[in-house]
Amino acid sequence: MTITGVHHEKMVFYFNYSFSAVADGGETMAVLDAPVIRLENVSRHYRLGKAQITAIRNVSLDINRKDFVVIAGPSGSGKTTLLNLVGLIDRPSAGTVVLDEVDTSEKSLNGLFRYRRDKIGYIFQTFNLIPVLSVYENVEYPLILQGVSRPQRKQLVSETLQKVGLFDRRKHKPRELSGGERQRTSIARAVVKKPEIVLADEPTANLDSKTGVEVLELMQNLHWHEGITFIFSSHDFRIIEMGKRVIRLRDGEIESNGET
Amino acid sequence: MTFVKIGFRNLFRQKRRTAISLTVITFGIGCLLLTLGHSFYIDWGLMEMTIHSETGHLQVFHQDYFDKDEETALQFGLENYEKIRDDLIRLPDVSVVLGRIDLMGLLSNGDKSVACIGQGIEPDLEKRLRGLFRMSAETYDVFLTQKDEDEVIALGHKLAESLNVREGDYLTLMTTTAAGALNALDLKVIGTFGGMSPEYEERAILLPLKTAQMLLDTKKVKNLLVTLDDTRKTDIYYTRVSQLLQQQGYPVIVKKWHERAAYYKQVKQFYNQLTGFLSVVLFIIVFFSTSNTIVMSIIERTREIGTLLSVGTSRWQTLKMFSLEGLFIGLIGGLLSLLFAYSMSLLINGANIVLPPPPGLTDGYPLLIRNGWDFYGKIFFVTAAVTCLSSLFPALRATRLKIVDALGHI
Repeated sequence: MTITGVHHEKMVFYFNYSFSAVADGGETMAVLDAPVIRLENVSRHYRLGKAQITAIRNVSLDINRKDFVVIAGPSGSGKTTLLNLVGLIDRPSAGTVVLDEVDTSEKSLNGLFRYRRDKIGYIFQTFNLIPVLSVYENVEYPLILQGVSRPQRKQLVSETLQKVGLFDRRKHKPRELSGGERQRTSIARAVVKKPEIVLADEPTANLDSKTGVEVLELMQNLHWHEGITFIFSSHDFRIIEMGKRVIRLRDGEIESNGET
Repeated sequence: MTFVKIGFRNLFRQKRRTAISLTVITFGIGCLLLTLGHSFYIDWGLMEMTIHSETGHLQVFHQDYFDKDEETALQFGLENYEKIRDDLIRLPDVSVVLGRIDLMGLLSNGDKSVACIGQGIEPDLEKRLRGLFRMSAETYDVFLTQKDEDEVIALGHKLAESLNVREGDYLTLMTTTAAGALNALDLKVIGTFGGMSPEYEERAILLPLKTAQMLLDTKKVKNLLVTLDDTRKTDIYYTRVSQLLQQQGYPVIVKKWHERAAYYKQVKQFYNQLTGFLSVVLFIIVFFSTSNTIVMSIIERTREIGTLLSVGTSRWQTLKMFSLEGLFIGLIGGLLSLLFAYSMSLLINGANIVLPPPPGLTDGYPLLIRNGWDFYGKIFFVTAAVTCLSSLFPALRATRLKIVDALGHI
């Protein structure tokens, strides 16, 4: 196993976590291994004038709980489209997307807002924070959508901001933050509701390399400590090698899918 | 609460654009309030003038007056009007009860005869009836200073000019009596008066009620005018006076002032249509101004909308967020327009501005603006509703955005 930039205590946590799963007699392992997302023969075509562009072609894929997956590939390989399909913000032209044993193909995009609200967290390349809200309010927003009570929100948001190291910056507006801080806020917003999966589309692309690695370390840390399933895309080899599992795309098809 | 917060804070993201929208609303709705305030003043002024110069608050007629045509003058006049007056004047809020006679005749200076329309009046009561309104002092004082003489007449300015008469001259007024015979009286000119229109001044005469009765050879009056302390009591006293006169067994019918005020109704209708049209135009401007602000806001924030939708904000919540933004523009703009209208009305009312006379009238009238929280409140809420509605359509567009397209918006 090659994990770059991981601190010793995180490694200890990772092994403890793996040990407890095995010691559970395999039942926990079954839960760990159950796919939270399953894509079956998924294709996505776009019309560009009279031409039809195929962004994703016959992709079948399982994402397991507590996975830390990187989708790698050059620009135009279909990484973002695949993430959009997994994140239920786009519909496949063919095939099915099963989230948590529910076939989402039969639901309209509008009808899927509850799934997006409760089960999926998003981290965007350009952070996409709400500029009129403070760091605290941005992180609190998904919990408000879920109808979480104010005291519980306060506790969850404070805890999450502590984890991403932004508690002291909680009253600042996004424009007052650095790129790395914005992305950490975006991560906090994505994970605060404890979603089934967190999707990150090129989360480090707008950051310098040092900050990019720090952000990825934060995601790894949250993955290990909170058991959050992360799927993120990148074409940066330093980031790619930080994933536990790498799905390589080329021209909309899976080129390889396996452990790093 | 979060949507309220986001909606409110978004107003200050593009301060200049929000300021333009608020300016349009403030001046547009503010001017509408000033126009309405002036129109309400005109309405109030015309109503009180009509009551205090023509109709009184209530009028008492013979019960057949409106159902049958008179074959002779005052056939359906009130014979025992003095007794009716005594009964009515005892009522607590009744200030004046006076009788009148209308007559038509031929007025002659010996060389020239002119058809005229006259009224037999009780000058002291007319003066009290008219109170602060025009034609009070100059017209009725001349009658009151000539109390010893009954056979006197006052003429409209233009009629006096036409007959070339001055104060102290004599004219002969000829008309038909209540029985249908011809009758004439020599009357001393005691003064002239103005009226609402030049046409009125060319034909109008006033003479004491007793003189008119003498000329018509009758003891009747056409009707009795009842004036109250307060116009708002008209409806209550309509019932009360009707019941009282019915109990006393008088063969009479009571009418409210506005049933006998055709000119007032026409003017009121004209102003209602004018202000109604102006309101529609201004609210359309406000509608599109706010709508434009929200449309621009949505275009600029397309990616943000995509983000909100992707993190689980429902379409309904997105709609609410943008509608609230429109509502806030309306509430703030509405409030500013109230302040603008109120302060401007104080300035205008204090400036003693007199507007030129409208076509057909002889006197100008003061530019006064009425303030009232009743219509201020209504306009405020309509403004908020219009701006909220104007943001609905662009907000609906925002809710229909495809998330992927919105997130990819540059």
